[in-house]
Amino acid sequence: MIGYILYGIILAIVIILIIKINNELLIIKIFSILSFLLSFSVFFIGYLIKIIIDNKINFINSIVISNFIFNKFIAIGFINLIIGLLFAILYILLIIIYKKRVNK
Amino acid sequence: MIKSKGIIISVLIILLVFLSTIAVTYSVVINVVSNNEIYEIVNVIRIRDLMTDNNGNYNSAYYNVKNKLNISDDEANLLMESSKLNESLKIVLNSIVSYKVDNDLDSKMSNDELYNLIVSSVNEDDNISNNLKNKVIENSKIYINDISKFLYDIDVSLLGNN
Repeated sequence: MIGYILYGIILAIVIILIIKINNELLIIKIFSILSFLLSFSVFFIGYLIKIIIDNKINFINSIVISNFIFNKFIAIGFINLIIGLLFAILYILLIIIYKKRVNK
Repeated sequence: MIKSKGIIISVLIILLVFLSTIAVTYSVVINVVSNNEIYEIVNVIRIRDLMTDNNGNYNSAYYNVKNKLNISDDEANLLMESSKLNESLKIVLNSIVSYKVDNDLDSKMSNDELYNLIVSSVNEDDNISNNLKNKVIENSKIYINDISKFLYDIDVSLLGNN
């Protein structure tokens, strides 16, 4: 339930952002920056959780468990990084196409 | 007007990154506490992980077992790396999770079942000497009456279900 509410709020903010910006190139640029920021924050949170688990559990070697969880954050972070890169490439391509059109 | 629009967009971007990070963390937590993932985590735990801390130093459990069995470090290493004993550990851990998390009462192993599991695992491993096998089996007999109660009294619960 909490998940659905969160995703709903995120979707609403994305729609508001698109309406507010109202510029295709700027939207792509902002989404690229957003994806990069999100990937770094996910890496950071994952690393933080790994440190917390490793420090809280002392009676067994918890590295295998914390690495298992950290790898999930790494995977999601990388997906966001790739999305950010794709948006960045798309933005650069559109800028080149736009400049070529203007020069003609 | 443009300045206020810029501020609103900046606030929305920060809010979006913040909420998305929470959503990702939430989805990972939900994923990890799902039953399949618990069993997957249990399957990566080896005897060595139970006997060492995060720096790789042996913990008190290691020295307790070593002293009780009266064995050398090499013999203790042999037991910790035994594939048969590690397989048995997985069976026992899966049984504990199934009993405590899934409330599957049938998955609880009796004292005799646990004892037989230890004996068969030790006997099946050709790398373990007969002397060491005897030590493990003899010591298992001493604790066999309490082992099931001890294992299934371990506090195991899902996050958020305490």
